[in-house]
Amino acid sequence: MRGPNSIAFPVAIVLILGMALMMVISTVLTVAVFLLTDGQSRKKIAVESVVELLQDGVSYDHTGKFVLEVEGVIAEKIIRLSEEQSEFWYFVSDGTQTIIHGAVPASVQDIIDTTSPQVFSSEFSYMAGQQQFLGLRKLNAEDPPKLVVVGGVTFSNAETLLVVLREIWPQGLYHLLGIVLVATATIAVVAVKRTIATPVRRVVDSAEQIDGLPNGRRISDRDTPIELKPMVAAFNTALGCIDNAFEAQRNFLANASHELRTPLTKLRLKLDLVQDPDVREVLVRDTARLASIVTTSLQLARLSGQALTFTMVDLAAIARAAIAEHVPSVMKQGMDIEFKAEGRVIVPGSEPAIRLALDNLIINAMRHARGTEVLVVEVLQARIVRVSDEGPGIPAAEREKMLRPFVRGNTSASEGTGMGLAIVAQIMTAHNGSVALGEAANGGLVVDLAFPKTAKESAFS
Amino acid sequence: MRILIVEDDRELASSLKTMLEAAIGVADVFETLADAEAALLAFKFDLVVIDRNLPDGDGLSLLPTLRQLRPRPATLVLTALDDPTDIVSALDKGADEYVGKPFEPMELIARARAVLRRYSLDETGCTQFGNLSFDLINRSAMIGENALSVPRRELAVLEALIRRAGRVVQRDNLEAAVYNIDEEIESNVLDSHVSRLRKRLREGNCSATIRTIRGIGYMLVQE
Repeated sequence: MRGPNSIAFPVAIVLILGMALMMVISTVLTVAVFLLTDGQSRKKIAVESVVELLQDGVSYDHTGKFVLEVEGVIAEKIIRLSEEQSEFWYFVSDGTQTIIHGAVPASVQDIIDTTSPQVFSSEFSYMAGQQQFLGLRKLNAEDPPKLVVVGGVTFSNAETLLVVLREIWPQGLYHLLGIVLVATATIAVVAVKRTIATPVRRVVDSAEQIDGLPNGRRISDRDTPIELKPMVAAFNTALGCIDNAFEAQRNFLANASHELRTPLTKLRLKLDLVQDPDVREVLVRDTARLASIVTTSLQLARLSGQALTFTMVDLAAIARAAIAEHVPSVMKQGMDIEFKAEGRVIVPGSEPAIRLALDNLIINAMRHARGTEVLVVEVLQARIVRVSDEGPGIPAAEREKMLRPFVRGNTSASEGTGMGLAIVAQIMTAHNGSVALGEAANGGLVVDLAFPKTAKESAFS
Repeated sequence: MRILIVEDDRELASSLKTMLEAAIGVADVFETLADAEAALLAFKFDLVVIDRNLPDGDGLSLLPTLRQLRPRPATLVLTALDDPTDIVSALDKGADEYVGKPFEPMELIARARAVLRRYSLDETGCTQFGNLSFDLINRSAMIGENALSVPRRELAVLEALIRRAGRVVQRDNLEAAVYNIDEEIESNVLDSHVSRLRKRLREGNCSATIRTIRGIGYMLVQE
């Protein structure tokens, strides 16, 4: 199974591998250049490392006998390679016991014998046959001091490489490089997070806040790495498009509203000049219905085109305000309106939208229950707003489709637009709530607007 | 009564003029904000009816000028825009009433009269509803020619109701108008004020009465 895709992890791996590779390449190159160019140093490093190995290798066994025992695979290999060469010799002594390998040239014997014990290290060149060799004499500071003299070392390039690698391996530089490598990788991971993940996070945060309202909100590209700027720019362009589309829709609605309503107003005012009262009444009613279609169409368009801004609202207060507004016209129809509420009912919602839903329900009830006595608006603690009338109601089979736009009930002789309930349904959907059409005891229509319970409450129910 | 109509659609303007002249008083029509403003500064108007979409801008931009006039004319905004935010912005900027297009002619006349009723206070300090009149300067009520003697709290209730005669005054608003914030209001005190006031009006042969809108508030209506 694959873990989540992270940018930081591969970056760290690539960095570690890259730096390790760099170390290897730089080592090989250094050694190669060294081997190809400097013969003297080559010899010197070979001799020096053999001396060192011998110095570390000599010890005393349990009988107090002086023995040579080189430890380590590479160390043994180097000593064995040296011992295979005919000119190779060494002389190890603690002053009383001596280990000698090969033939110590006579010319060198003098140096061993005569050099002052105050001189700890001396390097010399000597001739053996036609060849010039490098010799090294070293006296360490132990008690008793051990003297090691070595000569006749001739290593091939590969062998020298082995020696050189063994020489440099324990050196602190490489350990330091290792620490630097790990530290760099760690920093890289953090840096990747900061330079890539943080701006990305910011874009995501801003994206989450987009609510479809034209608020001119843009993501700042300050502190954004140059690689991510195109993303932020594209995002801002998208936001701009949303704003423009919203603005265009708003303008369209405003213009459509004006262009449709002004002629309707003129038409309505002119109708008062019609002499025949029967004709006039029909025309006035048709105009009213047309006006109502325009109003509800625009409301529906506005609702589908914009997100609602939610605050905590009191359903009872909204209902009270809506009823107060409609009381005069309800009374003019000879009807009564009754309000029942069990105290405040606070829900998250959009007050203008809920108000619009209620306005539509009350106007619907006034239309369809014309001639009846009372319509009742209730606000229940279960987050339900209920509007019931004493009209003819809607047959059960038709209720569902009444929530779709432009569907009118056939049973009522109404001048409804067929959109009131569709608007109510849309508003309730926006509130994650629902609309239920039912039948009152007296046959009238009952509309329940159910607002969702909070997550906490529904967990208990 | 003198009315200023700011409307660029000539047919609509002439219908409005005919209608308002028949019901309220002489009306002058101007098609642009600039002309209307010039007229407002030169003559005195009682009522201004403004459309919002005008050739030289939004009718609402006339509201600041209107606010500075003394006496200040009543303002009725006529509009095709009925987004709740549009309505709120119009009322916030100082419009007294808002009528959405298209409207019933009777509704416009009724609203215009209601606005004027509120505004007539500026001159006479008196507002009239049926045979009931209320003097807001001297804080006294009359039924026809007879002074109505009403205790302080009931008078405050009557004042709040007559200011919005024909419309519902919510209980909360009524309580706020009658009591100050620190006063403890017992739940049925307001109801008893209203019922005593109702009795007084009935006994004084008043043509207006107070309707209880259960759960909502009260409303002054013509019987």
